[in-house]
Amino acid sequence: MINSCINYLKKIYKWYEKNIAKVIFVVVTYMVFDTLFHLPYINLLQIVFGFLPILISWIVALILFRPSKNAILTLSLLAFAPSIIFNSISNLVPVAEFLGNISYFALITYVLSSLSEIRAK
Amino acid sequence: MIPKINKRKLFEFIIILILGLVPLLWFRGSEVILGHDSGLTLLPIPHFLDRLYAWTERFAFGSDQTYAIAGFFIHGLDALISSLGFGLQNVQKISFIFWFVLPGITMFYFASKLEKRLNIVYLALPASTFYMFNHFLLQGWFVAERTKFSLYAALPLILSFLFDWQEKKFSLLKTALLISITLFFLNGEASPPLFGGMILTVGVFFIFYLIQKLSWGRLISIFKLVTLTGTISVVLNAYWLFSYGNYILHFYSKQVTTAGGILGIKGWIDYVSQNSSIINLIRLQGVPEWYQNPLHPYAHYFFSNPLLIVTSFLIPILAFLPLWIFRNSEKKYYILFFSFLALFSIIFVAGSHEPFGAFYLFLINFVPGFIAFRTPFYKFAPALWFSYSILIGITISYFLQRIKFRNAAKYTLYLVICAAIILYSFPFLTSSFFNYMVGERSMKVNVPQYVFDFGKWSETPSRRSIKTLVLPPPNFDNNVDAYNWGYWSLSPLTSLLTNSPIINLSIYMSSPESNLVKRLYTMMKHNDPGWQNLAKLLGIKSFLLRNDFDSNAKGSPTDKPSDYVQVLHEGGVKLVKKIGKWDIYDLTEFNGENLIASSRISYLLGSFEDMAKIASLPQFDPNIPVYIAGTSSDINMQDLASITGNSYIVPGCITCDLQHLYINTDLYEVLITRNSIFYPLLKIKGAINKTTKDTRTVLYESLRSILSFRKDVGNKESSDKLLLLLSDYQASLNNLDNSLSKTTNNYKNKDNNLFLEISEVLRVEKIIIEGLPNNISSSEAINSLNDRYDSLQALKGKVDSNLWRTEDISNKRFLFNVEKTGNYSFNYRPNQAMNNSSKIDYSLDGEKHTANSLESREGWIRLGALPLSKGIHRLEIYQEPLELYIGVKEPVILAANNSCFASNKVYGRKDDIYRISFFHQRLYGSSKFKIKILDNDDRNNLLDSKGDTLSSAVSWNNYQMDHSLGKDGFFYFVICNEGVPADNTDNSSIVLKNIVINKISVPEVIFSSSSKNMPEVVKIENAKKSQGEYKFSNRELKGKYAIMLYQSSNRNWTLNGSASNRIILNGFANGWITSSDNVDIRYDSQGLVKLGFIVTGIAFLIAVGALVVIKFKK
Repeated sequence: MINSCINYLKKIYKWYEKNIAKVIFVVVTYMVFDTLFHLPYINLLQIVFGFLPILISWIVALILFRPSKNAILTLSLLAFAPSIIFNSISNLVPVAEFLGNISYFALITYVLSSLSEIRAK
Repeated sequence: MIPKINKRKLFEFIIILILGLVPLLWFRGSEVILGHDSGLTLLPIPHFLDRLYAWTERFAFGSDQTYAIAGFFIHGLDALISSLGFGLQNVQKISFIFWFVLPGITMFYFASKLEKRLNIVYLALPASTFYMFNHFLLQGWFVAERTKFSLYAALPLILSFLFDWQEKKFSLLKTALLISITLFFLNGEASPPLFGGMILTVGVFFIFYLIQKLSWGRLISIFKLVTLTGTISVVLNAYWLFSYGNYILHFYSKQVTTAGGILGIKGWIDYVSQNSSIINLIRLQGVPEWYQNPLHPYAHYFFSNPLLIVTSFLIPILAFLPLWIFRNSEKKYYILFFSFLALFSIIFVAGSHEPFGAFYLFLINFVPGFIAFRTPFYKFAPALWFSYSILIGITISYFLQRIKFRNAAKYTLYLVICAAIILYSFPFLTSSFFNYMVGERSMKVNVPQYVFDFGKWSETPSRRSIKTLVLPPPNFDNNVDAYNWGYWSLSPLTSLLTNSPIINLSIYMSSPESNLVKRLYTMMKHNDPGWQNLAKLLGIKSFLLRNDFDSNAKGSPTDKPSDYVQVLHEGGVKLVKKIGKWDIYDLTEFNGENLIASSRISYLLGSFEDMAKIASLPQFDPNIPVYIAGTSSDINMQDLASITGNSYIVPGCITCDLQHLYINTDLYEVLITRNSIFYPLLKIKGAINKTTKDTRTVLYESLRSILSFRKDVGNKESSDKLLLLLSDYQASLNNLDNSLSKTTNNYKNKDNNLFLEISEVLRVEKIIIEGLPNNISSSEAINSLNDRYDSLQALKGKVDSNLWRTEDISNKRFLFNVEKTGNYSFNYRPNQAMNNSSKIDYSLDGEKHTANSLESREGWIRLGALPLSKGIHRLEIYQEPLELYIGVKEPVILAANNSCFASNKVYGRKDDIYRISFFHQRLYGSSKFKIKILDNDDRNNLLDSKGDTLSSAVSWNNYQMDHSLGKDGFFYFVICNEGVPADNTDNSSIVLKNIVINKISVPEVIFSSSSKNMPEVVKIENAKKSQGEYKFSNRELKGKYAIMLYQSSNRNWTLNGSASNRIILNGFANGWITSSDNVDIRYDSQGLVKLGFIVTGIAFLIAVGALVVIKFKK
């Protein structure tokens, strides 16, 4: 049991070690665009395109990590679990909202990428 | 051949029917559901019958209700049940059961078909249960929102027909017929925004239809289906569509304005979308009421109970698990469809909440008609709950099919799951959701019997057409109708009780009507002379004193019933009936009611509100209709002149309250200043848009210019840039000067309002400039600013020299226009107690006069007759203010022991303005003193109340303030040591002198002239054929005469089929000038309603016939 836990954590750490640059890049991308959209004059774009920083970061993440569709779906469903903790127990609502956004974007990505499958053959 | 009945399906269907009986749990004793926004009526049959008319007398002075005819089936159902002999509570029980079970049945139909498509079982019952028992419907049920339920129930049917059409099981015609007939019965009372969820669902269906195979063929088939369905729906719904279309064409902009304009709507969207985050919506929460109402009956359970919180997060997992379960299935189409529908609808349900809020606001701004969706959550949520019902049902079905239990155990588990769904929405079982503000307000009320008795009595033929004003009035700000037995709503109770014209302040009144009624209430409360005349002008004969009215309702305090008892015991009024706690009084002499004809009309040169003033003149005759100059555009002036008798001129007292106009500088703050990189774009825009600017435009450009300068001063811009801005400002002042020069050349008093506005704007600019020098470091810029200040002063001096306004408390200035030269009786009402003076000094056009031997009657002083020539006149009356301060002349106020000085109480009416002034000087110490105005005897919270600090020094300082009374009653001022508790050792003290309290009165003047010909006024009886039709033959009046119908003015009222020569009489009523002997007055929209019902009837028979033929052919 302990060994499996250790192995699991090792696996996660290895993934993290391997992808740290990508994670940082996505986070920085979001920060840059979010800051950019708050600058004078450019913030005019926020009136209509307020969701662009999240959308751009999400697209960048998809490009960098190239997750499989199943992985995206798994992520979307699993992201709800920690939301429970953040939403109620710790009352960290903004974190829960962020995870909710992740779930939402993951779900919609999965659905959109699956649409091709319903085309009549 | 009898089709084989599937036992499982029958069992499930019976369960749904049993669940539909839940509303039986909601009623105790004789309780009924009433009030708030429910629209539930006390008398279903008369209410239904009234709704068949385009014009109703239930609201205000009559109102168009073409928008309400679409409620034919919703209110018809209640009327039908009532007609079977059921009492009100039983009618509600049966009606509620119908609306409760209907979504379950339609979902059962849809889900059962989907079971076949997906080749699964156990989907229909959980999906139907979830569709019936959920938080969206729970919130709707607190006001029994049947309009919402009807479209909610229609949604599964529509989608089912579309899927059948897609799979070619239904032909194009059959699909179009079925959709149209569904929406014919379940039409959401034709409220376009309620179709939000359906539009989204159908839109997603077409998107998927095209994704499946994008071809011209499919595009054309969509076009055909939409066109055919639209055409059939139009003819099927003709009974409301014709007249409602007419209503929308004329009142769309009014609706937007009522909602506070586009800015008001955006503010409202922000408000209701505050908690519509994705994490809330995806777990089916975020219901705005949950967060905005601190007394919500059940929301707190879902915020704090761990089990309910965890369950809420399980909901999206259960909903989107089918994506995982069917990820490799060939039947993925439906899973993707409902998942996409859920996710897509969240974008709309979230409204202006991030991250997609900007997109929603974009649609509001730029998509015509989208503004109707101003409460996004409630309008689009049906699509979200619909898709979740199916998706969760699929998940449950999947797991149940895989569990290897025996059938009995499996069914037990099946039912337990359905029970769990119901328990998650447990307030349905307790009916606590009706107590929408726990401990304060509930929809469940016991209606006193006398209320019903009054309703019945008011419907008797002798009372049916009598206009009755309710007393006391509701709160003027929000018009809440609240009774101490529990009713609370913005809909007047009487409108749910009787079709008789009971006058309540409500949104159905136009602004002039509302102001006149408010004025009548004020006059009645104070028993002012002329209130009976004003009531007669408004056609009000009767008064309903409601002794059970909740005058202390939270958030809507108003007058007590006892405030009106005295006035109802005056001469000219008699008690005609006592019904429980409701007393009805009538005016003894009354000529109005429905219709009168008059050989003469009175002419009023003034505003709507001035009707109340002329009504109070001793010689005023309320039976003669009054026309207010300029209120009708399609009147023939010669006809008008031929029947004009008495005339009244009511001059405006210019700024007699000595208050400045409020200029909201926020509206003129500039986004792009001269130093912005985008400024050249602004120049280009200006160059393109070269139109001649009027004086007002130029005026506000100067305000923008100085605000722009202030902004850049705040941004610490360089001296050079500031100088450029100042040169711009100088240019704007020069432009204004030039524009004014053109105006003043033609100066004949007529631009006084413009001069007043300019003076006030320049005053604001002056204040802005005076506050700037301390923030500017460049001496060059300060010098330039001083020069601009001088220019501004010079310009303001020029404007003020041309301006006619009251400048001090004693000399009241009036401006008025005379259209016809003649002798006028000069009537004056000082609006304050007069000093013991036997003369009044005034000047007319600069010529001084003194009126002696004053004759006073009912508050009016007659200053004799004056010859007035045609044109504009300036009048100035000297009126010495009364000294209202009585007390110590030079009081000394000590800090020690919190000893306060209090003035005497001064009594007045709401909105009266008083000026308080005195000199103050410090005697000892340094403790500060504060002055506060109080309007009650409670001085316990003096330290918390707001007030000015007196900056007393060793020399005398003057203090002055104006105070407006917030309510009828008294006020006094108190001066105390500020804040810190004083002790005996604090010897700080100040002394006051020259204490003055004056009322800043706004006196009234009326010039009247009487006609030599005595007018002949005829009361027309028995002319009313229905609430939209009047007919009579005139045999008494010769030549031109005026007809007045005491119904709110509306362009759809026509005389003998023509809308011409229509005028507004008495400030609100329909009038015509005619010489016709046979008069036929109709509300034209009623014709459209009749036509619509015929078209609908024929279309329905054809549609049903076509369906039968299709079935028979098959």
